[in-house]
Amino acid sequence: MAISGTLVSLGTFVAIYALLSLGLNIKFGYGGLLDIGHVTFYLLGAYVTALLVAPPAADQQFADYVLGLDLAWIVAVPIAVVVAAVAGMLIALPAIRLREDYLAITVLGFSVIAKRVIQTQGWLANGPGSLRNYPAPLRGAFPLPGGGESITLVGLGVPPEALFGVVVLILWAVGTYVLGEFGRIDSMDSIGDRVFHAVFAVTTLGVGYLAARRLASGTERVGALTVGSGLVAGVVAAGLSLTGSVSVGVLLTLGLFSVFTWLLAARIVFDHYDGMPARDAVAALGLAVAFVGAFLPLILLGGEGGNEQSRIGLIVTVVLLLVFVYGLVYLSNHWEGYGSGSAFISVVGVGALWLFVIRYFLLALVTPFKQGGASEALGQLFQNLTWLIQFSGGDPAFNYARFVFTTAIAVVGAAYYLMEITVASPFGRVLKAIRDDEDAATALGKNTFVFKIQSMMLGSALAGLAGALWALSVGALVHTMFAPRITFIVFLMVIIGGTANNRGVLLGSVIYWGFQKGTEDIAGFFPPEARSSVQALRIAFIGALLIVILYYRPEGIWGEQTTASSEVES
Amino acid sequence: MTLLEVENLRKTFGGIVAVDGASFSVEEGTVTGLIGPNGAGKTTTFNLVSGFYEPDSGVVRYRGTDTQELMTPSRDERAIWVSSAGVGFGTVGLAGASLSGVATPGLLAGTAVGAVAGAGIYYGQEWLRGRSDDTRRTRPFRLSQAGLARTFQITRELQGMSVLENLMLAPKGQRGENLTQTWFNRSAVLEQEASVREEARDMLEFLEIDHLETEEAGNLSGGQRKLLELGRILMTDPDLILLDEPVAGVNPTLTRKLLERLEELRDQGYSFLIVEHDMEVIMNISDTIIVMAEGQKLMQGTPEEVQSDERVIDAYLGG
Amino acid sequence: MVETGLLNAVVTGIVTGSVIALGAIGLSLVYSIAEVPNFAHGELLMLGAYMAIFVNKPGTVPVYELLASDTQAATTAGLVVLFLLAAGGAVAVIYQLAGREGLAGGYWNRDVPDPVGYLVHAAGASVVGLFVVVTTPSIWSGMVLAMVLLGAFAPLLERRLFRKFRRKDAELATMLIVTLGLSFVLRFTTQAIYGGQTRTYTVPNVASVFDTTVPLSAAQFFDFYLTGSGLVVEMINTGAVGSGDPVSLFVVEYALPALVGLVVVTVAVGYGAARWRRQSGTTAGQTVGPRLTGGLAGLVTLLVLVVVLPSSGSVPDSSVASTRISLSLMRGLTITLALLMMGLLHVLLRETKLGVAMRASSDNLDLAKVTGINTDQVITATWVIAGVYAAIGGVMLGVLFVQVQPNIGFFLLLPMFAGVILGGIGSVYGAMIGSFVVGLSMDVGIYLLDIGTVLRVPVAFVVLFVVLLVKPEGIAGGAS
Repeated sequence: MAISGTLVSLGTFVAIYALLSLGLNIKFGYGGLLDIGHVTFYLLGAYVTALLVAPPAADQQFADYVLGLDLAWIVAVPIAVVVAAVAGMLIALPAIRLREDYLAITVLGFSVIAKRVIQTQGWLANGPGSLRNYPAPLRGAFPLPGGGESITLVGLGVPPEALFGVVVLILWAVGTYVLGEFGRIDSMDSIGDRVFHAVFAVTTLGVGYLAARRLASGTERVGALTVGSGLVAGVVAAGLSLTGSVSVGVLLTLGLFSVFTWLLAARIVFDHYDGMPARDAVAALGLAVAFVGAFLPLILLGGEGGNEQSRIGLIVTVVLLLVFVYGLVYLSNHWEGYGSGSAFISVVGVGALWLFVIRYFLLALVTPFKQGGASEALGQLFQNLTWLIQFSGGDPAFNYARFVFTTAIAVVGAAYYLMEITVASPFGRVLKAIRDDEDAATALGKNTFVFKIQSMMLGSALAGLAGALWALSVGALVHTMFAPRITFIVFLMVIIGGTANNRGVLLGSVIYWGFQKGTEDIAGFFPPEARSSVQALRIAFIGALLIVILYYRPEGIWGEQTTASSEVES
Repeated sequence: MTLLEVENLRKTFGGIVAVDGASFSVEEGTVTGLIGPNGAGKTTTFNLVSGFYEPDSGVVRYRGTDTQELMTPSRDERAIWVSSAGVGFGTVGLAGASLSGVATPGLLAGTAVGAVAGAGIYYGQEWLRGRSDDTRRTRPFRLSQAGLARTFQITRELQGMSVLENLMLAPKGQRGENLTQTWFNRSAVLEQEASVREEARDMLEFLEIDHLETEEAGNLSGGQRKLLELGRILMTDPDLILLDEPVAGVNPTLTRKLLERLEELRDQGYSFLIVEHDMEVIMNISDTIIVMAEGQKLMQGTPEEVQSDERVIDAYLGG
Repeated sequence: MVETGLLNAVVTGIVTGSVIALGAIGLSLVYSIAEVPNFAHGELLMLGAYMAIFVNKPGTVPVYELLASDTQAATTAGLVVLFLLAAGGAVAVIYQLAGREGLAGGYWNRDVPDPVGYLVHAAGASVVGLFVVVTTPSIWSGMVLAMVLLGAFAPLLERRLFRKFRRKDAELATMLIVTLGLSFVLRFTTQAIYGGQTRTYTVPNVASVFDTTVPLSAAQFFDFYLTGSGLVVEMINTGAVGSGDPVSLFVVEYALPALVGLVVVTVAVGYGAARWRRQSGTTAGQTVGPRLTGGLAGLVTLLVLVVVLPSSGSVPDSSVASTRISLSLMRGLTITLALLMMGLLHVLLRETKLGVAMRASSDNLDLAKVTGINTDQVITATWVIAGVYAAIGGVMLGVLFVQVQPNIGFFLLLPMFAGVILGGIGSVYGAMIGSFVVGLSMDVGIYLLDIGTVLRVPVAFVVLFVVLLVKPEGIAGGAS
């Protein structure tokens, strides 16, 4: 699989876990409820969805499960979400009055039981085996455009080209809206800015540029422009595909859009690290290069074979890594000489970004270069840039994985928005008050019990939604996917980014999966017999990381959100 | 009119009698002081009156209604919880029965078992709550809603929130505390939020701490915290305010400011019951003073009467 | 053919309860004294189980296998390492408990020169080390090694981790998440080193005691037949040496009057002893209180009567009811060991200065500190005890359930917590009783409900949940 495909599947996992941790953040971060059985609701959401959309078990060979109602996804997912929310309420009703340690052990128990029941009760969801063969929505139409057959929506036959047009429309509309929010043209002073905006103008067919200009003038909302640009792109895409110029249509719309997302990401990153001294940025690059460099001995001396040479490579690499880690720790302890502690975190953050850039845009080209020289490498680079397009045999297309990814991102976006509203509202205020001092909230006439139950239900519902997305993205469910350690990982995500900070929680999800993918890559360098140990060690590392964060930086990377309700000025 | 009546209140902790048959009353529109030597049972009385403790015996009446009755869930509330628990567990029962593939009577039985279990769990936890002091404290919010509000001896400001937010938390009946309103009726919520913010700013101005608006409450001085807590209580729009040592640890300037505010508020029609150690303060501000000793009311009278009473002097010197 | 039944489930439950109790004791002590809700306690048991493999199967331990000549035999160098580990562990335990002065004899009641103290401790440690080396590769040797190593390791967690968080006034929730993180570190590091596959101890089927061969792990059947005239008991040896055929060892019969007498006399003696004790000693909090006296006296009477009363009988053709208990010597030993360790703890808590300090700290840590108790030391000691008991529990867990995996500890966590909460947090005695209740309800529960053994943990959890609903303060009653 091309690395852009990996990026897409990784992005899907990030989105799903972001949802899961948004749910936990409502419970734990804002409500103070120590729900270490969060995975229960995730499991419920996944299995209920799958069982509802699956065909009757009688039609299946070698599979036994209940329900199998053949429902549409659009119906099944809300049901699953409601089931998860109600389950959250039912568990909370008796348990929420208990001391927090009792609550913790109770919900942990529920998560263990839920997994055990799925595992042992063969009739329920195909026992210890996996629950598969449930249909995926719109699957037949992919890859778009034109790769699949027509699908039926509400009784109407929809050609895949039209569906493609709709997908492009939505992507472009959202993209343009985001552009309006982030890509402000508030300065045209430097050459860099001008270049930046020129590229913007090109990659968005000029629409983005117009939108940004209008926004900068402060008079107009971008509402009409967003829909307009989407509509244009959608019609172009659908039209070109119908007339046979599939490649042109896809490249012109999704290709440009992909490049646009890189620019946007770059812009956001630059904005975020605006005040960073150039020296720090270079230091970050140095860190990233040093980290990659540590693996050179292993790669050069050959990591696969069990010969003497590769063993030396392995040892040298491990030593280099240890030196690297030590250096990092040393730097973090002595950073005061250069700047504040949070500056060091910024450096590490930028270093991680550099690492991503090196991995995605440089290292990924090595193999193609070895195989087919510069032209092959350039082709790969192009594919990596236009990550929303899958090139199968040279034909560009929008495949199903990317559709799932887009859906997941959209759902997370909506959930994030909803949660931001929620925590900034008086409801969120009461929740935080209960977390900080329940007696005080009681004395002010707040029915703390009801608020806690609601936060439990809300969080559980989000976990259920995450479960439904998981069922969609993986296509087969096994009980091992819902081990109690998932809860723990989600706790890590919440704490790492900043408890009670929804944005931080998203960051936590990105960091965790980045780490996961990174270590997977690293494990790939090691000899096969050592790989399972590396896998186990990385979970141990996560445990250690959590303890370290709790000790040295309990507020997480971004800390608790500065109270948003005072920002919503009237 | 009598706002608060306390009759024969009694509370013991593991054999130690903290309050032993205290009876007194608070009239509307007055400041009533509650004094007594250490260990006289003032704070316990306070917790009993505000519903944070449950009395062993005796009655507290607020506007003629037993506070225990006020704090018990209303019929409607019970009905909502019982039915939701019943429906929830009933659905689980129905699902369980249908999944195990039994015939209709089995389905009904499953549903019934689930529903009864749900209702049972609700009543179970109600009953539990009634038995245990520890879990009891989730109900006093009813008294606050009814207009009987309290502060704490050690201030309970929410340290992570700004001063303004602390105040904005307090008002009753905020639309935005309801999730459906928050999500689907955003403009109305924002509108009310704006007015609550105005109200909170007015309160800050009244207390003359408006310069602290955006400060985190955890960074305030002791006196400022007391002011903040008073303001927060006022924001709940109470009728009777129980203040637990409002000037303890507060510097003289702030104390004067606080007392001025209290007098102003009394003139506006608020009633106060104040526990305070500072005799000068309490004699100055109170209309009536209740003296407690060893868990009982020693006497009740005007400041002058109290100051000249032999028993009071004995109690203080002897205690 | 006699089937196993409820009675057998009860006996199995007591065995399970014994293992749970060994873990729950440490969990409860740490919870109430160190105020750490230790979700990593199961991992301590797991570590104990893995440490015993060092002795029991040195040939399968990574790296250490280089010093092994066979799966079960270590080379001389390996034995030296074992000796150093065991002796070093023993010294480390003393060091953790009493510091450098302790090693010099500082905690003794008399003054001795430092070298004497060092010598005595060195000698004691050598004895431990020699015991481990000499009895290799028996499981008992492994247990001793695990005890000293874990006894030295557990307080390290306190010193390096929990104490730091306590100093920062970490909330209970933070502490809880820290222990969760720790549990992951321990479990998956172990998995990384040992690999995830299931391991087993090699425990001999027979043991030789005074030249008599005694079956160790083979199940012995006790068949009970209730007839019109009394109770017939037959003991069958299933794993007879040499042949696989069951051999009937003996058949005895208790006549009805004898049975009645047994019950009456046992109860009477127990009650009488308790009454006597209550009247004779008025001071509260004796080490051997009335209830314990009564129980012990009753137990002794029961055992004597069981041996004395029966006449030899024969297996009846028909019976009113019959049932079979399957019990191996190893299981019996587990129960005995657990009871013994509980007795030891009881004596420690009641008779020693440390025990008094521990009880005081359990009631109120701050108050204990004010009254001049060195709470840091008390907490360290608590962790030592928790480690030692967890080691025993872990090894017995590995022996009884035949498999050692990185996740065995985690699966025991819920039952242990159930036992602790059932008994009431803060009461280690409650935890002991609670553990047996949980163990019984697990095994009796799956027997009565007729569900698979995979659902044992859920059954334990249901018991816990019901207790939390009905009586959250636990059966021992008082809040800590």
